[in-house]
Amino acid sequence: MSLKLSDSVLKGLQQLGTEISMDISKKLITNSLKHTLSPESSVPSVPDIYAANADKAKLSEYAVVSLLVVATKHCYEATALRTYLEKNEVQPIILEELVTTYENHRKELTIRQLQLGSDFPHITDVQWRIMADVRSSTSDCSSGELNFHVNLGRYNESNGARETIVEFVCSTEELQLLINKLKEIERHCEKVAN
Amino acid sequence: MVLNLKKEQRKHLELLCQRSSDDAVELCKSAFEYLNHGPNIQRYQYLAEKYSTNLTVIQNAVEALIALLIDATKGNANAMDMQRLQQEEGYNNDVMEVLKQFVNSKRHYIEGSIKSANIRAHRLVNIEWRLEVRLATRSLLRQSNIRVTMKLYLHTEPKNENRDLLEIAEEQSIHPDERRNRKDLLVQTDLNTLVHMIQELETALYESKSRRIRNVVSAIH
Repeated sequence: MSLKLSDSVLKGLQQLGTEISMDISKKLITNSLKHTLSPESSVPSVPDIYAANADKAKLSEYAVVSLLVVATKHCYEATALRTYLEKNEVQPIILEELVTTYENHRKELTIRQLQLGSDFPHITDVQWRIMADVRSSTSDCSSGELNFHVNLGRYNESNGARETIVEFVCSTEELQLLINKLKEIERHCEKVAN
Repeated sequence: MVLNLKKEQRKHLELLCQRSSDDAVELCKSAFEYLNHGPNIQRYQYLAEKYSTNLTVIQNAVEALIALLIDATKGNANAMDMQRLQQEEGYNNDVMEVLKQFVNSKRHYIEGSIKSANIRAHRLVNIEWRLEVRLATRSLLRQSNIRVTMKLYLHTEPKNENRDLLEIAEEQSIHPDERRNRKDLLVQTDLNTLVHMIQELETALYESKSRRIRNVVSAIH
């Protein structure tokens, strides 16, 4: 499928290195890459970019982000990207800068876009604690059994905070059954991989 | 004193002093039936006529027997405690034998309900899983991302003899109260995390069998 960008995005790309100075354009491309890869809040602002002509700079910023995201989405090759930009008369130095940026960060861009979209909660971490009851409101003595509290969670990609997805309790036998079940899944996965 | 029966409950059990061991067995059976299916007024009426007494006496005796069962389990009563009860209440030896058997045989049944189940955390009951490959998304048209999707079945009901009964009942229909105590959850993970999870949980299991933990548990038990 060939790459297709809207007129406003093309305009934003074409004004880089022409209507916007070369120096600012390069800064803008670097900054736009950061915006594409990380959440908005973690990118420090660069006021220089918007000093001369804020409206044009914002349009170009939007254009660079769109170019990187759409090219990644369609798994576009760098050479095809180059041909497309040449055809649309993007300033040659800027063209080179855009293609190199895309080529050098393709892996990161792909990983970033793998994380987008709807999914079931994705577990990436497990925490556990072992508890034994001593006395309770309903019983004067310990049941002598251990309980395993298992907490499955994930780390928030934008702020790194841990979030609990599910927490449950297992007895020793139940924990053993859970481990066996997980190992069974692992075995099946290995079988498929081979 | 381990057995902490109320005066009123002791009074309700007086019926046992006047009856034979066979009658005591019958009353104990009714008490157990109460635990499984709730009160059975028809049966109490029948027993009341048989013992030439009234319905309330039988009902109170059955409830007092359940109180005795719970109390004995709660306090982990031993033979000595039961003997003390016999001395205080004057049951004959045959009736006492029936009571001891009743308490001992049903202790395990009660234990699950009162010991570990007072605070109702979710328990993992079952896992269903599926190995999947995500092939495309709106933001990335070409990909092959392997993941394991799991459905976790969680219950808050205690796992013990009582639960087994609930499982049988489930075949017919799930009571709305029981449904409220259950939830299932869809989650997913990747293969690296799966391996990590197995390792972590095995560490937990290994740790639980350590001398230190065994010593602590036997000291508080």
